[in-house]
Amino acid sequence: MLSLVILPTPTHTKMASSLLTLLLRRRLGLTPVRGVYWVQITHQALCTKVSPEEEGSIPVSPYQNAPWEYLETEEYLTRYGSRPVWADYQRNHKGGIPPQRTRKTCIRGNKVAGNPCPICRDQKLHVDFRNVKLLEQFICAQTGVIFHAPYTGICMKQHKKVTEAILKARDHGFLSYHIPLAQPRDTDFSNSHGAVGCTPKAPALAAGTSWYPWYNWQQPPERELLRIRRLYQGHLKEENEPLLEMMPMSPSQINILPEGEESKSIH
Amino acid sequence: MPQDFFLRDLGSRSLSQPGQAAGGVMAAFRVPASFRLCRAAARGTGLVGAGPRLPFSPSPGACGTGPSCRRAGSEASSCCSNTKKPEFTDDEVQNILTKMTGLDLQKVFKAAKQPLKPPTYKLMTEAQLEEATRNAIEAAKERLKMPPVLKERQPINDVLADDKILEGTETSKYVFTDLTYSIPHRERFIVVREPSGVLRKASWEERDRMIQIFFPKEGRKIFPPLMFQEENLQTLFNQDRHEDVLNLCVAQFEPDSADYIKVHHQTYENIEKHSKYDVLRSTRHFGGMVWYLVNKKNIDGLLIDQIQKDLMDDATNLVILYHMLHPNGHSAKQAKEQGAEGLDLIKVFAKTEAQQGGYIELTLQAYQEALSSHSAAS
Repeated sequence: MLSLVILPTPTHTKMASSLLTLLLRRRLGLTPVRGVYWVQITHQALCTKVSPEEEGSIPVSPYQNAPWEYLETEEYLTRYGSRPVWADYQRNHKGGIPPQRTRKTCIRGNKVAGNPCPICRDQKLHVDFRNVKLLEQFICAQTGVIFHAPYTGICMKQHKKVTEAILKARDHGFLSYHIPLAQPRDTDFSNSHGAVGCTPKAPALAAGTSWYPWYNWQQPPERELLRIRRLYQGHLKEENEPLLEMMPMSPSQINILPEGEESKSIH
Repeated sequence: MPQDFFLRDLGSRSLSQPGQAAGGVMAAFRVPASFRLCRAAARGTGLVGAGPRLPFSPSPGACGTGPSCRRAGSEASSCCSNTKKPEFTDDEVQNILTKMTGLDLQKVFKAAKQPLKPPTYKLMTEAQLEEATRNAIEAAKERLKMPPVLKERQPINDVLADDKILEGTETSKYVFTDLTYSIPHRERFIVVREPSGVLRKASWEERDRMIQIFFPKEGRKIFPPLMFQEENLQTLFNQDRHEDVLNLCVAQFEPDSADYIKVHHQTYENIEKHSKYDVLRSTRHFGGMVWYLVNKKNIDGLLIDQIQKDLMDDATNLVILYHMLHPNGHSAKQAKEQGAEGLDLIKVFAKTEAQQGGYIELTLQAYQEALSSHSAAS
């Protein structure tokens, strides 16, 4: 994702601007708009490891890690003064009533819309939950309500980022907001009810035995054993292994077993 | 009858020092003390309706959170021999704390950031204005009702069933919550079926989370705000936003949860360290802070602050509360011997048990000089 800075050019830097535009045209084949000075920052430049050829030519916003510092600089003060960043912005729209949603985003790929919104037009402004001064400009000082996008003029994508940053800052405690006076949820704190108090353990758990008696092997009565043996005479496997270890097999499967393995018949 | 004996004896003594009178009666006469204890124990178990009904269970700390089986017996046996420790919910203690909190209408009804309404203007006579002020004071008293101070709750570790046959059938836990609308949340059954087949009661954190999901409370989030982490708390304290922290803590956590108690203690420690008592004065958290400091025997800073602000009644009440809670200390015993009152109480305390006794005496001296010079001037 490329990021851009658009600043109006004073006339004496035409030389520098024409050189730069030549550079840019060679790089990305873009025709810059006359009177506007475009600086394109490639994706690689934003990484921590900047390759040496690009380091000198394309500036990176120095406030990436500490966005709040920009709001103290001379440059910011001369540009905005004490007014919010969106104060001097005017949307371009047909008719008297502006559309109720601003544009979806100012920057698509490496292209910037005409008349970008107050945040997109200044590359050094980063929407971060830590730079409280910038976020406060988008909250009403009297009501604590976050301004809607058509009020400040920022694009919908930036509005979403600003809202998320404000909520995150409130969550971390950087921004103050009105906390309603809440009473405790419950009235009785004795914790005597069985749902939250201690219940005596079930006898099976207390004794350490298994929960259901049939979890453990229960030796069937002798009568049953004799009956089963009589029923499946000649087809049973050895009686030494307990029946639990084997998968229960149907009589047809028992017949498939080698006939020589028949148990000692009891009868 | 022991009851008559107790009442007759109270009538004969003067009630100018409520803490000392109670202590004296308690120490000297064992029979009425035990009668009062048994009444209190019965009140704790909810059987007798004799005493005034308090909103919160009066003896949660000593006996309530433990298993219900050993409650009444242990309390009666351990406390019969010596005086009963005053609880946060006792009337005397609450009176002292409310007086110390004060009632600044401007601070209680501070303008809050909320959606704007057009302002209303009313023309009132003097009488109407007074009535409006009285109503405002009533509303403020309602707002200044103190949140409960409880001991930390015992963790829930009960296993209800162990079905090994279910082992390996599921890959995640299932939480079953009883959603009956009309039962109190503390009586709601919430159980968890683990993948190993164990059916256990949900822990306190799980309970709070589930109840917040199904019965959301205003101001409470399902996961606690990141504001309560150490670094962020320090940022907030530096901005003097202790009241916000405590209000959010009351909204977010249960009064007997570990987080609630920890955050409150941290806030109180920070206030005491930087002597920022004014931040909480005239809020509902001041009483809790005073209770914490008195229990920790750390009231010097608060005393000095009160003397410097000419709140002598509050200072004397603070020392009285200290004596109520620590009746066996040097300070309480000496004060009882000398029968000290008012400023003398504070002097006795400063001489005996205070860590910054010298500073307290200096401040007292300065106050007395200022008082005498003011009276001489006028």
